[in-house]
Amino acid sequence: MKEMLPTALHQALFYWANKQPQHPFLLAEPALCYRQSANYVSALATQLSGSQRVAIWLEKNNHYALSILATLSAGACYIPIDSKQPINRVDLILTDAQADTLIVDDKHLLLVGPLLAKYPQLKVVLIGEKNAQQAANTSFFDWRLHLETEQAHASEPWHKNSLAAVLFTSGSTGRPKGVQLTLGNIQHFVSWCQNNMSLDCSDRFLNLASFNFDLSTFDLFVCLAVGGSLYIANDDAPKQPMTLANVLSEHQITVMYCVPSLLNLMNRIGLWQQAEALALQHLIFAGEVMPKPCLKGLASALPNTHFYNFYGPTETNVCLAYKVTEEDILNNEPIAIGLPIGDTQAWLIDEQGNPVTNESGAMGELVIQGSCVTPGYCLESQKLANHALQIHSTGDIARYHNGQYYYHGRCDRMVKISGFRVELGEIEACLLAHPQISEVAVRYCANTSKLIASYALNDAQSKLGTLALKTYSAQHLPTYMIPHKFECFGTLPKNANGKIDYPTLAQVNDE
Amino acid sequence: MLNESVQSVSAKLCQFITHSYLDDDELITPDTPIIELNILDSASIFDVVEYIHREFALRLPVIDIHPDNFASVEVLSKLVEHHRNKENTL
Repeated sequence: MKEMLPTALHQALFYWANKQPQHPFLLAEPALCYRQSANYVSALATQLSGSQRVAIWLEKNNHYALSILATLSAGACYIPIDSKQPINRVDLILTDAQADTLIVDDKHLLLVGPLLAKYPQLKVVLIGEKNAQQAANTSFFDWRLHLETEQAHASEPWHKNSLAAVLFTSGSTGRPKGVQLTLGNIQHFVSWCQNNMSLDCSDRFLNLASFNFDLSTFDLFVCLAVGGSLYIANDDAPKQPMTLANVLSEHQITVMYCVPSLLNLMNRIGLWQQAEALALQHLIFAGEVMPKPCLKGLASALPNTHFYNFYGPTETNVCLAYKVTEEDILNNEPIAIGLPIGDTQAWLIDEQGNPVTNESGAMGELVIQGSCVTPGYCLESQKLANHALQIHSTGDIARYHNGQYYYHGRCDRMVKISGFRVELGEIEACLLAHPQISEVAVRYCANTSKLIASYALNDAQSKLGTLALKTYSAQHLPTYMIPHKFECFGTLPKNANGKIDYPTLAQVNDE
Repeated sequence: MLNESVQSVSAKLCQFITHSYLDDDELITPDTPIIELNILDSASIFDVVEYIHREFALRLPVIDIHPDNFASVEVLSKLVEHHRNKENTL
């Protein structure tokens, strides 16, 4: 494998700050060049000195990205928390990730306030507007003070096995799973993009993905690797199509990476046609199957853009990639997820775990091995033995055809909603904790894209209101995991083994 | 207090959203947080935009198709009424 460069990942910031100090790094307000960003990161890294695990709960903006880079520069790992996570889930994340530091803004400091008594050792760093009403253990980072002050850009030495991030994803047992990524895991993907995608410092990246979503590692670290510029869109950007169109055109974005459902929505409202002249060169999608009509629509609206389909669960980051060809746009075949990148190896196994011969038409569960495979989950009880060997069984069914892999669904109960992984078991565990519910089954109806919860009550009473159940769910689950529909049963149908009979429920639900 | 016209828009939107996305007897109220409770998502927002066009002959400007404007029926009704008034004064 190629030797890691000393300027890898976050350290690339300091390399480019020396080489092109005035070059724009962050394009959204407050717009910052490489020199200012490096000053900010160095000063914050100094404040984070001694921290090992830094949770970040901020509005999605430039401060979020700079906090990530400062955390890594301080030799710590970052634990990104989506700005809209319910407080109960934030509590679980702080506990499971064993965070020793929390970076917040004014809004999130207020939200997390009642929780802080539970974490007396937690160091809180406030990146706010003013140094006011600080609680014990809270320090204020006055970022404006540091932008123009030259700092010694020291960064802790790093090793490829050092922990870089813990990304929380849905867990089937009801507890979110913290996937641990090393610097080497991220660098493997970044190096491949750098070597294979013709990107350079004139490129302007758009970051749409939340920082707790592994798509964001491309936006931040590939942009840094090539010395490019990055526009960090706020959390609501994917729901504000016109704002998105304005950003694409005003900042002449050349690289965009997002989930197909967003591109489908942009096609639906004719956003590409409404936007002023676009400069999009590379459009990458991942996280869901790209519908062929959507790809055709994109190709017709953006004839000068290259399209890529990336594949990889959080546990492997991106491990397979495919560049869409002109033939793909013309035919009606599914789009390949491609072939392994870098030192990754991929193979298929059958239901018994035996390897399936890689001949055209072969199908099986996709298994991944290589530097991309993360060391596993942060809770001992969730760890898998294979991760120590850098092997991950994805749970995805793939078909090998014409020299490429194609996605063919899941072999378990995980579903993807707008690119987010959702373990139906996690929603069930949440609802089962409701004092009046005795049993519950959650299904995802692919035809209607709806989550349907069927439940039975402890005693014979009338059903619970949908709004009450949604309000209860919202206290524990991210918005995209709140079921759309709730159906009350006397008792849930069971199969011969006494387990919930999901196929029968599906018939009843879909009637 | 919502004025009569806003109230009528609000009542129709509550009916439409409940019947389209809740499949329930219990009507949402004007202050139900419809985005926060995952009653509306980024795709269904556009169904509501189309409903407003059909029902109130109003094409909401794309710049207003923002989740904050769909946070509740109350907020959305005021936006609809604002645009209707604007059209009437032209």
